[in-house]
Amino acid sequence: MISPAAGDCLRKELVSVRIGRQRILVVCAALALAAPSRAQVVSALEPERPISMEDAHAIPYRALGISADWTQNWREGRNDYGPALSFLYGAARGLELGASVRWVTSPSVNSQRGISSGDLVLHGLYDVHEETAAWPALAARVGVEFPTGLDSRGTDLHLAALATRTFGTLRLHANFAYTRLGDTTASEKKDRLVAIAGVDFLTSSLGLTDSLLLADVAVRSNPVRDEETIVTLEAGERLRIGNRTVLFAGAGSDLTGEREKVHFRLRVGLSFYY
Amino acid sequence: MSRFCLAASAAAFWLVVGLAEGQPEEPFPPKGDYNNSVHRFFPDLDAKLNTVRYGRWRALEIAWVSGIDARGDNELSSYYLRLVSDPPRFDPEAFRVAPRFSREASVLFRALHWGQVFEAQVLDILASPDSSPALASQRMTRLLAIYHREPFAIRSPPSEPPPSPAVAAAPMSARLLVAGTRLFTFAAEDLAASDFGQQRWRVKKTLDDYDFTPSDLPPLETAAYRVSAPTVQSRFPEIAAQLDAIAQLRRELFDALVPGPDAALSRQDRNRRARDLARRWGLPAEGIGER
Repeated sequence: MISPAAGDCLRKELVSVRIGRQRILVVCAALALAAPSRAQVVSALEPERPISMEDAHAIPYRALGISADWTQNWREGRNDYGPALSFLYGAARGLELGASVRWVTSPSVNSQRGISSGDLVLHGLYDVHEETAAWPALAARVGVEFPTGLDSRGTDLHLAALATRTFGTLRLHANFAYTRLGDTTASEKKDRLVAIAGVDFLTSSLGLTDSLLLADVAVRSNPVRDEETIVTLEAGERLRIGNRTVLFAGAGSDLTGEREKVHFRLRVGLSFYY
Repeated sequence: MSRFCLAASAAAFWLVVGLAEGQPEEPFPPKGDYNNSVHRFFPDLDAKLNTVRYGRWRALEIAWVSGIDARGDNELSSYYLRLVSDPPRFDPEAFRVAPRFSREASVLFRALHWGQVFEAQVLDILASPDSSPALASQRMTRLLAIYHREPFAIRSPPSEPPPSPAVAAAPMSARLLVAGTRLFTFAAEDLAASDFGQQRWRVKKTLDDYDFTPSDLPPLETAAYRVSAPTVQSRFPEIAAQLDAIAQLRRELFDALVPGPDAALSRQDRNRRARDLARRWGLPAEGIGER
């Protein structure tokens, strides 16, 4: 026998499951539509591969991208490090779907400071506008971060607008991102903003598309309340070492950010496209 | 995260998707066990072919931006000769070698880029170590079907090409690029006319004997598969015709960018000629040269 109270609970759960399905259906339906993309290997910039900025292009239709890296952060009084994995898939023309996860040491300490470890991030990136003579390439990115990691709480929402403009062998990038945290501690901010301006250019004097240098400056909200905004400078390189394989390395440093400052960050990894 | 946030973000994403004026763009190269066979088993040949690929895109960018003239001819030939002396290991990301051409004439860019992908895959199929006549034929049929599925795939050429004014306007570059294009046909013939065990010797001999910087212009017809790759022509006539059609489109595009005898080609004339060319080949001409 199910008691009335238990029945109510069950009904609530069923409604909740239905709403969950509706959410998934809405998101899937939005992601199922499609538009343009470009065939690229070295120039396909994914966030943190190796620096924060990304380009306003989805990976090509039917391409599968797999990346792995190792990151080392030297912080005030404590260092952390760990690996990350990401998968990208060109689900339709101009539509990239992806999943990524990053682990860092000291998750219990880091989670108090807005740094997740082991959280699964799913995203969709859509090419809104292809680059033309007058307009840059524009893309929109929507991501959801699930609290699958240690000491993680709440599901977070990530929204971003991306722009890329080409000038010969040089490209300029602008990224604006907003994050809404589902659950926070008393010391954490619920809303976070990031603005990134960056540049990449081909290093070869012949314009060979095998090596790309990147640099950016990122301004982001401090995840901890009442602490100053974090300004980060980063630089990196992507080097094609196989027909579809890219080795990347990057370094960065936070210029401001008080206790949350990363004095130096180093990242090395590989991307493979199939 | 509240339901409102999720619903709002889904609605915003939906709106953005709805407003997007996306155009169909080419997919990633078709997947197959034969992928990258030329790069893996014939790296010297692949490097030479990459030289030609870079040269073609660079030539298109120069021709698109400044027209075909003596200055552009010198610029391209010196660039190409530097590439020949140090051939690139990997194929180019075309949109970075020809950025303005790719965004101002995206339909023609895609038609030629998808053609380059098609040509590379044909050579990969022929160079694949597991290739047998039946398997190669099966793969070619699939590849051709995938190629034709795209909206910017080139159908049969509209007519025989007229005499090429680009050759006279840029003789040095024409000489180098025609010789380079002919190398593709010779490579295909070497790979098609022998089994995997013999291919490396035939390819090596071709590369050893090949003159990448001939002093005279090779006859234009020798850069066609139907002339220089008789085995490919007999075994895969549709593939050979398709590859020749792609080469013809490229040549006609260069011809369209040759200025008149009296004045430089204005941007409007260039765009009009490019649109005419696209229509002639059954490609959508909208957007070419538009801001």
